[in-house]
Amino acid sequence: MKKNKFIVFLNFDADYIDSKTVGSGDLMLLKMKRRNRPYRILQNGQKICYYLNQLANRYDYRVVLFHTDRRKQMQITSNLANTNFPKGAIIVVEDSECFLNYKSSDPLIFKDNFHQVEIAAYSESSEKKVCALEALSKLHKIDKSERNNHIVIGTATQTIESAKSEGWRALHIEKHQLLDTLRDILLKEIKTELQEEAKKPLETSSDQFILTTEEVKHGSSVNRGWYRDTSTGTKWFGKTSLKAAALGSNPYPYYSLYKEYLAGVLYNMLGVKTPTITLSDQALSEHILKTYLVNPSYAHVKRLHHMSQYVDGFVEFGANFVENYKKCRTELLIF
Amino acid sequence: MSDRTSYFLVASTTGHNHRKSIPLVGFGRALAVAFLIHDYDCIGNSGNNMGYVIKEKYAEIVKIDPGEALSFAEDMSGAKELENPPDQKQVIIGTSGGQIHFTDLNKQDQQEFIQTLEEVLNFPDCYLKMATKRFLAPDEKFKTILDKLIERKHKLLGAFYEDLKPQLLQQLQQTESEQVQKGIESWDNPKKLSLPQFDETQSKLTDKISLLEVTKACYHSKEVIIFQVPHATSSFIGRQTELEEMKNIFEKNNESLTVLQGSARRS
Repeated sequence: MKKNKFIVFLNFDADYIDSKTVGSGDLMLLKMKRRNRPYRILQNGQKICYYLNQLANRYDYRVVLFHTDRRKQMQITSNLANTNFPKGAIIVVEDSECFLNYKSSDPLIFKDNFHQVEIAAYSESSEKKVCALEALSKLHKIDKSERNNHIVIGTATQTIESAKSEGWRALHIEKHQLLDTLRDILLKEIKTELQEEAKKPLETSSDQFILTTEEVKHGSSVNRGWYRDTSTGTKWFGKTSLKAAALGSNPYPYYSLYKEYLAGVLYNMLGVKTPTITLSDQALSEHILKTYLVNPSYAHVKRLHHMSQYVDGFVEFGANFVENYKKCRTELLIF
Repeated sequence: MSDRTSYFLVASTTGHNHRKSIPLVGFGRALAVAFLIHDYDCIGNSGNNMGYVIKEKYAEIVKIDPGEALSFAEDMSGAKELENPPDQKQVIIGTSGGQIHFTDLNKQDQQEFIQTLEEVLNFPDCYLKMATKRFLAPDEKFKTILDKLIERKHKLLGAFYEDLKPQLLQQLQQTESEQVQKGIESWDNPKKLSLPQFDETQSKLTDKISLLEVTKACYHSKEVIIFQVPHATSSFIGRQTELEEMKNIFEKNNESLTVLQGSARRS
């Protein structure tokens, strides 16, 4: 199992939330009792959510929000739950009124089951250490040697310097740099992923998949079938190309399979959800051997298959989607 | 007053079999990427190549089966209706030629589409090279795919210049107003008062705007060639004759030339 990496926002409510008019790309986080500026917002919140979700879903980051007011934290947590903000955030709260006598070295740890968040709470503050990070370390048993795996973002120079000296990967930013910083973190992750992928073999072992008897209901791909991953038990769709199946030559023309694989990588790289994909040599079925009159000398040779993991709960658009979409102009209030 | 944002809604069935409508998220993004990689069958004639999964409060787009994408190295002369040129601002969505124009998208999806293009602008060409590199050895056609993909990226950005530039300028304005606000807060305290400085974010934003200007200039002229070295925002622009001459010099020169720097803006 992959270990989570944390992305910590120090002083989330104080540093990133503004009293401004709510724009269409912003997230409303607090309703104040003021007449002139009734909302407190996270500017560009929708874009921020996109980057955080990419980091969470693709690179196993978990978001940690540090607050200094329990009451506001509860309101913000509740409002964030109605947005696309990544689920399962971790909250660290420093509030001397609510959590008297709790220290960051031994914080009160509890779970808000309704919003699915873990909370570490304490009352003290210190100039010698970053208490929020100490409480987080206690909650998730982060060892000193692991601190550099986690990103800490903050606008206070001194706190960030302290976090750095404690060994965290701390980034000092101005408030307006948040979006840009998250974009840079994502681009670095993508680059690392591409570099690591390039080192791995392109193909997965053919023994990893077993063809099942489940029928493929529609489609025209050659030698298509449902497979089972022998190590994880997951369901995969596999197919090869017409040229690869029919031609009795080696090396086989796998161009179209590579092209589809690359297209999947590009969709994914630019933030579109796609199934997990791989390439794997698989045997041709008797039906395919007969249909395409495959030369008997090559009939036993396994051909490359494009394999994509079944996406649980996937609903196809269907034939009427585009027509309905163009007709429909539903307006929905997001808050 | 809060803003309204439009979404396309899909039906979702909750635990007690209650049907409710939830927003569909990611459609604008999926179409922007489909347009970039020339996936002219991105939805499919029967809507089988794209769909969604239901999350708690929204439905998230899932793209499957991009088999027709990146067909840059194939002879498509017999299928003019599938050409999908960026300047038309409409995405071909199936092999029978169905299409969705940018203006057919609702507000939310248009925003997503443009945001994705902004990310494409940020995306260094070297990332596309890295993704393609492993296929170059098995099949040389991937060199054509890579070259055409980079060319298409610039054309696409050029085609949506008018939609992208205001976004970037707005971001620049936001950063500047924040600095001004800071200055106002400390104007009577000389110790704290700091004059607005051009920071890294602003520098990146102006780089992006310049790059977009260059892309637009290339998009509207056949006389220019764009060279991009493996750094996100380093580009070179010039006239055809001068560029040809430089190309000849480089080709004749056996010694390695390690650094080529320069920039130009044309408004």
